[in-house]
Amino acid sequence: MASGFDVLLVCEDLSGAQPLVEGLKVSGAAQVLTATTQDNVLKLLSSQSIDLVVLDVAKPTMNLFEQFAVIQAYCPKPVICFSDDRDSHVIAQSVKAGVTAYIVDGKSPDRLRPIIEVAMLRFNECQAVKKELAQVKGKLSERAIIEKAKGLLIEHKGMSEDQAYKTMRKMAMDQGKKITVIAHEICDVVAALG
Amino acid sequence: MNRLNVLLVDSDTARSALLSQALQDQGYKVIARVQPGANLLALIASYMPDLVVIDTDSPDRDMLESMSLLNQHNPMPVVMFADEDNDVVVREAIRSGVSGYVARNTDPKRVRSIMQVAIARFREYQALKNELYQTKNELEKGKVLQRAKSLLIKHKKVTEDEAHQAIQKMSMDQNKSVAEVAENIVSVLEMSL
Repeated sequence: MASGFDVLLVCEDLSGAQPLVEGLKVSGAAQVLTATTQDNVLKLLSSQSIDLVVLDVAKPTMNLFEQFAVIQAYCPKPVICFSDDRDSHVIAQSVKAGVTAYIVDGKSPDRLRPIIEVAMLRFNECQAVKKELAQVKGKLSERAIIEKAKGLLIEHKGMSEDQAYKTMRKMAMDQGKKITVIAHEICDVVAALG
Repeated sequence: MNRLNVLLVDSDTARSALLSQALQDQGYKVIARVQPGANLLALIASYMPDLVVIDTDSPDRDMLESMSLLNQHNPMPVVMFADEDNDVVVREAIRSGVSGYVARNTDPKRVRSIMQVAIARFREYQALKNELYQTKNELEKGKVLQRAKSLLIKHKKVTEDEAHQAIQKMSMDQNKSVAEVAENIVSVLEMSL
């Protein structure tokens, strides 16, 4: 597996963090940054290059869930959460908030390596699906904007559907722009002029 | 939480009796214990469990292929108990769609939370895949509609507007969705080409 990855370790209390830091280094981590749950994790992640987030808490809190939902939206990272809480709602909520691996009572340093490997594999698999989804959604919304612009031309310029499309295609070619850009511009102009 | 129905797959009946007891103690209902083999997928389909638990020394190629097929055609959470140290096996198992992987010497008290995580993650991943499938479907429907329109324009010498109206009228008259009508038009007109 990949070694030389950088880890952000978030604990409730840094005094007990040393064994986990050592375990992460033995498991291939190049650098282990530490933070407490009081710190702004999102800010740390945006200022440092981090490949993996490891969370070591007695119980994940609402505040943490919120931070992780934001992290998944802006700079998705694999997240491993070690916790003592075996409540099924907490587990479900954590997974929903983007925790890749949730592990109860399993913090022995020699078991870290397979856990990290599995978390990274799963994360990559999930990211691939999310990326594809974003692309397909992008195409759908491109089509929607082209349809909308076409409709506006038909309504305001009295064109047929065919003429409207050909007009947009000609504008795109003449101006060297993508047809979706032209469609956006048409929608903006018509909205501004009423 | 309702008791989840588990199908237990193990080639070693003595070992599976122990695991079966452990699972029942943790609140799962083991509906059947079966041997791995060529008919594994058929067995899973006939028992319709909420989750499949596999106990194996090391999953062989057939097993991984079965899991991969299950993941494509009848996705459900699968938790695998196997040897801890083999990185390659773990990786292959995850690739084949196994939602949870438990090392052999795991403390029984941890089993429940591992299974819960596997189920939660399975649901999340499945929801994501469903959304992708639906979005792709929508995109595809739009493409078929476009194709149907241009075929009408070419073969029936109508304008795009007229083609659009014709499809909508057919949809209403035949009481079918626009997508269905478009598909019919494409299959008929492309056949006669």
